[in-house]
Amino acid sequence: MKISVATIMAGIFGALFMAAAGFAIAIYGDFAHFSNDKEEVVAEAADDAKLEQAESDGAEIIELVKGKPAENLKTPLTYAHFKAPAQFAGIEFNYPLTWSVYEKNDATKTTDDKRYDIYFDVGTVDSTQTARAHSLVVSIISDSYESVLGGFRKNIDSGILMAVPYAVTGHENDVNYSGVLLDGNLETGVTGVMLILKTREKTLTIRSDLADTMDDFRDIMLPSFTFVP
Amino acid sequence: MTNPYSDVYKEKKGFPFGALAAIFAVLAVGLIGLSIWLYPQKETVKTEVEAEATAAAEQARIEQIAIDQKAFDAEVARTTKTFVSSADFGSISFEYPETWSSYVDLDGTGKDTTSYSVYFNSGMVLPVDDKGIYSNALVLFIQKTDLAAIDKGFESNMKKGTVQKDSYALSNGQMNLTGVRYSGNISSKNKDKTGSVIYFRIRDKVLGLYSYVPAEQAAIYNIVLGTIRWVE
Repeated sequence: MKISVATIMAGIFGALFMAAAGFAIAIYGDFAHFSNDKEEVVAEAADDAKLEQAESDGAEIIELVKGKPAENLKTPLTYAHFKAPAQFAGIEFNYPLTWSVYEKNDATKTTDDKRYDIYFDVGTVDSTQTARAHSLVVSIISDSYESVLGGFRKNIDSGILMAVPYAVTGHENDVNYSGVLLDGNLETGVTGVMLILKTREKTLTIRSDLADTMDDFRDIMLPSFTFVP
Repeated sequence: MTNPYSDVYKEKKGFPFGALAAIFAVLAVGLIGLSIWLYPQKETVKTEVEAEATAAAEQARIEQIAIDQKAFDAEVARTTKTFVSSADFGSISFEYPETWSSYVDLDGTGKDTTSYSVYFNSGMVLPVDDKGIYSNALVLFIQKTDLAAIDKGFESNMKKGTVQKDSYALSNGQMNLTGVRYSGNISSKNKDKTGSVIYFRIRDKVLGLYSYVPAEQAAIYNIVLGTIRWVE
């Protein structure tokens, strides 16, 4: 049986018509849906987000009620927020709720030539009377940024301490301020991570010497850290 | 003579496939044109609605977090954590509020090997200077002394009536003994400060629990003293 050109063309254009019709219907369907059901779409997205968040947060609360150790709850809901006095660079950051905090110096008494140190440890802050490793130590030092960084130059040059630029968001206008993140042998026999930032004529350092909590330092504290340079 | 039933004849005189192809072609072109015209409008509307939905979802998430944070904080406020001193100082253990911080100042490893001190406070432990004992919620102090020597230290203020002494019965299901409590102007350095201290004898040492913050008394008596124990 012979099939004529007209029949073939009818088949091709017929198929094209069907495809074009399907495409047009799909586009119109979407257009009509987004135009007419706008409020439902927005409300549904809000409800889904609310439900998803409630399920996630609810699980944390239930775990806490059930007696799961709070140190194992690692969501923003379980973070505590640290806010230093304004005169100390307005430092703010999150840290695990189960950590203890010890403000070594009286913020109202500290003068320009003194240090301001805050210690953080899991459970109880260990004594600061003798040198020992802590989960986190935040310090404002009256020495210059260059002088503090220079103290680590030997280890950086010898390759046992890595130094990379690190940007921190300031409070004002979300401007990023650059500092240096050190990772490795901070001192003889002490491995840790330390962020050094310049704040006015002083230097701000944030340091973690304990391997067990270094992930918290990187994942919780550093991403939430802000200050006023 | 042409066979009127041949295929060619049927196509020529039968169904007009050519016309049908033309109609399909015109309709297809029309629909494609309509789609091209409608697609950007659909995309514009879709983008607007999706942006609005994303913003609404973010706002809903923030509101839900605030609700859940409140519920979580309420649960946290009811939970406690455990403090345990070193074995050299009696392995004293007790529960204290999860929202408190604790700091071991003297741990028997420095110059003073016979004393042990721990500061507790809501949120952050404040500086352990001359004012530290007054500003923090609870101070635990273990020293090598005896209750008679401590009593002598309060003698003068007790005579003046600025310090009251009574016995404190510790009976929490784990410990069953009696300590001594001094209340009032118990500070030898600052006569304006009032508080209370409870002393217990632990082997050759004395444990003192100092508190100058009235707002924390409930937590100290109900949680700390309600769970405290040590190895005698």
